[in-house]
Amino acid sequence: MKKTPLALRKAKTIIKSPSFIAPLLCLIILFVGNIISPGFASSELIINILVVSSFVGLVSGGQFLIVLGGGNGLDLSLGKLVTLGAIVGGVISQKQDANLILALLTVIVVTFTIGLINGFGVTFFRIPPLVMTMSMSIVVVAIIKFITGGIGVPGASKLLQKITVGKFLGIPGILYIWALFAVFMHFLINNTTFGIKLLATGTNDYTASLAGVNVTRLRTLLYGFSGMIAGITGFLYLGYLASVYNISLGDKFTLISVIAVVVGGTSLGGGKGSYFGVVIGAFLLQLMDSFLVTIRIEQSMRQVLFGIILLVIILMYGRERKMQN
Amino acid sequence: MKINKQKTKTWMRSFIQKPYFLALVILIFFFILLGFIGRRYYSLYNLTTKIRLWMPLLLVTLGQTFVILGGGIDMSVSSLLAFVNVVVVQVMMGLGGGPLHQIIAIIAGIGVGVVAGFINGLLVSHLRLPPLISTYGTQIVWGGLALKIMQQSGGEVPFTWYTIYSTTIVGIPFSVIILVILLFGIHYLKRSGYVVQLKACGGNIHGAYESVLPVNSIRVKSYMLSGFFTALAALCIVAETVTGNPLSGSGYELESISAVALGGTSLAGGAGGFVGSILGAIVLKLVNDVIFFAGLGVNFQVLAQGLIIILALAVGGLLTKRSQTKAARMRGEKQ
Repeated sequence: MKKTPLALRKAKTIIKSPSFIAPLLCLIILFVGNIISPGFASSELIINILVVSSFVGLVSGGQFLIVLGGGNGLDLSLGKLVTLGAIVGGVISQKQDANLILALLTVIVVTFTIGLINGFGVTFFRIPPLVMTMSMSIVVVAIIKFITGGIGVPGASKLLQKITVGKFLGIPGILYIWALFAVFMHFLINNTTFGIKLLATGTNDYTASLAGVNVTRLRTLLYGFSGMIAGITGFLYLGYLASVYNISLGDKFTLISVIAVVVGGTSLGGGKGSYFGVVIGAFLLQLMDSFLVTIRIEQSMRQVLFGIILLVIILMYGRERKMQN
Repeated sequence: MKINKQKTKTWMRSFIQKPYFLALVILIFFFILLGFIGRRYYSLYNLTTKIRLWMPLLLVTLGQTFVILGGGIDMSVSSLLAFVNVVVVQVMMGLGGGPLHQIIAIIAGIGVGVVAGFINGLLVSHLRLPPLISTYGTQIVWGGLALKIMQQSGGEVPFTWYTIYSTTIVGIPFSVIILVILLFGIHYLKRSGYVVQLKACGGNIHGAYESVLPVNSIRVKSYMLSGFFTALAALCIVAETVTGNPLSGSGYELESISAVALGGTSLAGGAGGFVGSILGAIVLKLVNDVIFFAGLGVNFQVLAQGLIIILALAVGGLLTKRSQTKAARMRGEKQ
């Protein structure tokens, strides 16, 4: 067998790793975009893209936790939970700043409960996560329709709008929230026992349970947390949109959150990944979308290109191991 | 006498342990319920109409079953359905719409389905992408291509499509005849050993690889079959609606996967069957009828569909959990 030098092999693994490719792609897109349409890489536009991707990033945080927990974990109800969060928040707060805390608490309780039910279905009743969360999203749609019942939902209150899009030192509030969340997630996974348990479970749930981790409880809680994060994101999203224009406003988050997690280098098998990867993944997806808009391709072809680029990115580092005898 | 009794008992037990037992129970319950509350539900006209409306989901679910048995998943069926739908209509209209052109359009549609399935299979097997993500990606691509070919629903298909599709031959609806032919095809695949090999891949792909099975080509074929069945489903939709619609397939991926799971097929791959998938798909469709005849609103239809899937699978999960602990206990006693 030919032997490649160690340094070369090391360089190869770095180049092939998601934490190298994803930021590199971001830079390339920004560079090329700036050549094609000057001003694409201006700080204003980047902040705009960051704001849009912050919501994706937040929702992907919940998805990330579940995927990290292993056991084919996946939550396809997150998109609907975002919508539910926005609608419950709007209905409870009734555009009054005074009701904001109450609205936020209600959103947290409702979405956390729904997430927990997801978790119970997956862990205690052994329903495959894919089907469980999919069916739950159908149920959530019904709940949303019962709540709205054909009447309009009140929009966001002034304070909520101020918190999300109001600028502090030239940067919208939502970005501060996202940054705090990212630091929190990083700390949670790397510096707490919860994080260690989570990674152990994701890597091998049997050995984790032998080591004394209550795998069932942990995974159930993960779904609860992820539902809650989606609900809070929906609440903030209401502040960004200012009104609930459509009862499927959060649908896109379901697919994009899974993709952001994978593009961020998290293995779908669980136990491996970092939240900063997810952040870059979310930003990259949004950047790609904006880039395709800038080069003025019609919508259908934009969709095709988006899909193909996505497949190519995953092809670069999201592949499964080769089978060997 | 005693032996006979025991025989029936073991037969009963093996029947109860069939993966699709639960779906069958729900199905029978729904049918009885509909007999009471559904007005003229069991008229021949109604039933033939119903079967015709169920056909697309039944076909997509059969295709999905192949993929899931092989340990994969196909999220792209929904967009592929729309893609084939518009390709058929557009090719037919582009050529002129004569009888020969219609046949070419059908072949083109099926060809697109099979090629799309081939690409899915290639991504998953040879290029080793995770099935969920790669078929999500292709879902986006097929959806975009469908929109590229046809921006909004429209186009005209000769009405003979509908007449042929809804005709009955000796009292048997045409759609049922197609289904029976396809089931014979599946039976042939079972006899030829393909399904067993597929299950081997789904159950333990490394084991299958080490027993010198051509793992990659087996998995590619399963995706191609899924594409083929999806294309047939698209043809059914074209015949039913007599137009093209670039958004016609939305929701089919979730419904077909739910139907497969309801039918007792393991989503991890390797275990399950086609009878269960058919039963699961019919159960999903019957929920709507039950809610409708019970006089509840559309919102309840949505709610009930979600709850039925969750409840049925929860009961199924509990049953397997119990039998597993029982088996573990028995093993423990032996040791």
